[in-house]
Amino acid sequence: MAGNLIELKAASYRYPTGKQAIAEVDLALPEGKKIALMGANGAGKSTLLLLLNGIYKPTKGELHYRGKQYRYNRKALRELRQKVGIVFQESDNQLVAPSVYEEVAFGLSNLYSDKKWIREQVEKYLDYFDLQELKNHSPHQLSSGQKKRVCLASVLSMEPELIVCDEPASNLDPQNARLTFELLEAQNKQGKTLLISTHDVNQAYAWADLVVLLKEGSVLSVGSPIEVFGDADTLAEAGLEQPLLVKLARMHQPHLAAEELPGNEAELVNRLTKKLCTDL
Amino acid sequence: MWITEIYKHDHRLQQLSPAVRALYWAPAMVLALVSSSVYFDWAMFALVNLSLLGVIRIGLSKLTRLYRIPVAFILLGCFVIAVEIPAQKAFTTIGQLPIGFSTGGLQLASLLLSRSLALIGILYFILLTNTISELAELMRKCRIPALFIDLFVITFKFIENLRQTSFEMYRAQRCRLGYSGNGKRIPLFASLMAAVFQKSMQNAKQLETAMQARCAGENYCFLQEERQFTLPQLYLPVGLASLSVAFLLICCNYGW
Ligand SMILES: Nc1ncnc2c1ncn2[C@@H]1O[C@H](COP(=O)(O)OP(=O)(O)OP(=O)(O)O)[C@@H](O)[C@H]1O
Ligand SMILES: [Mg+2]
Repeated sequence: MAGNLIELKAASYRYPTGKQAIAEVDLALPEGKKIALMGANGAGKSTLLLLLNGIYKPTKGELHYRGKQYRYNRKALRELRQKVGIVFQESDNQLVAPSVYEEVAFGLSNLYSDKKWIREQVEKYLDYFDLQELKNHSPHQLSSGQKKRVCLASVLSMEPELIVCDEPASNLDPQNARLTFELLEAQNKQGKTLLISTHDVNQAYAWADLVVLLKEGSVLSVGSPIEVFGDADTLAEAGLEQPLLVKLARMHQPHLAAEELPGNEAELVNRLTKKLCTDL
Repeated sequence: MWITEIYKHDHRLQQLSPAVRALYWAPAMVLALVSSSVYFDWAMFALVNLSLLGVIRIGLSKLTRLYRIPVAFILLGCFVIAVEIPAQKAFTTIGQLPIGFSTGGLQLASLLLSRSLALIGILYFILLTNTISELAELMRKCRIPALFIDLFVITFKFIENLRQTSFEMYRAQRCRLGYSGNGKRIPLFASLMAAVFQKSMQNAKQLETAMQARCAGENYCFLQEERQFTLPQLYLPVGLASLSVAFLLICCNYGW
């Protein structure tokens, strides 16, 4: 069994304004899993993600990467940021280069000096994200979906072990959102750990291996999707809705235990048709 | 109107490396600086604008709009130089003072006007055929101290950021029917400026965070796409440069 990639031990973060955004969080992120970080607006999701990348330093508590404590010196941070890639919520705040090509090469050229290898790597990711046609465009003149793809390519080209995405599907149309998730899924198949913040309960229910529920900076519950989403009270406390599948299943059988919740649409439809058949 | 808005990534010099592109503008710039001929400067101005139209394929109306602000400043400057008080040949008098143009002043002003227009044209040519990172890279290759390059890039980025934010906020206020009543304009404008500064600082901060997250160093350096160099690429710029030199020599020879 794989160990934990990152562990937070009683980590707190207080903004310089005095706002306590993360309060005494204990959390372990297992390697190779798809993890969904959920919470209402202002729950502290973005802040937590920035803590993981070493951008913010916890005001109290510790963070461990593969069992070793984070050290906030220059060299250690560089290593850490190569291993933990973060895709920001607003693409515009991430795009710095005047062309897509340079944007994708940006992280790589900060890390490595072998230009030939960097060029090969950039070409590979441009192909992978279908960006070859746009490579000379200015990133700011693209649509939201294209911008998101550029951001993903520029972070993934650094080949991080943990990919952190802050609301990857925000302001994307359904098709592009699905595409983004498929791309991430493919990365997970290659052994990358994914951590994604979202408020889309349906997406998280269908997709995640592990769900972390945040409320006002502290962890409300951690567990598999059916455990977390089966608990309607905790979910309501976190300010989130139940996933549609859970709602429908509970409509059909009000006292369904969490372990018996359907995993996907097909399972629910099966159950309903079976019930229909026996009723008839 | 700002350069990055009309910058087209697919201009005709796109396939050339920035160093080859420099062969198009660098000789022009040097010649415009050394020439003391009004005719040569006007010819250069015309040539540069024609190539802007051809190379960038920018519309004529956009091009003229680009010149609006610099031309206003230059004209003001030229006017101040040309005016003479008290003048020998006055065209008007204010109180006891005769005001007019001096011949020497007029000559100087016309040289100044033509030369600054030519230089501004060349500057636009540079900015519209190179991205900011390509320029920074070129400067680095020319061994310009890193401090200056950073200063240049930061200034450019800061103006761009300010412009973008103020445009967005202005539009948002317009959409909520700001600026319609006459009495309300000035206070609204003041609050706009305050908000713009705050927002652009925020933007800059977030951008910095994102750059840090990808291990950015101190320098603003990007890896550009590799561009092939072939000898025929040099024919056109070298030809143009030699023609210009010849024309300048003719101008000097006849004292135009
Ligand atoms: N730069 C900052 N300075 C001070 N307080 C901040 C700052 N950024 C966020 N906060 C506060 O910290 C809390 C957590 O914010 P955070 O951005 O982490 O929430 P979030 O869960 O990502 O929300 P959303 O779903 O809207 O993105 C909020 O109450 C917010 O007001
Ligand atoms: Mg957020």
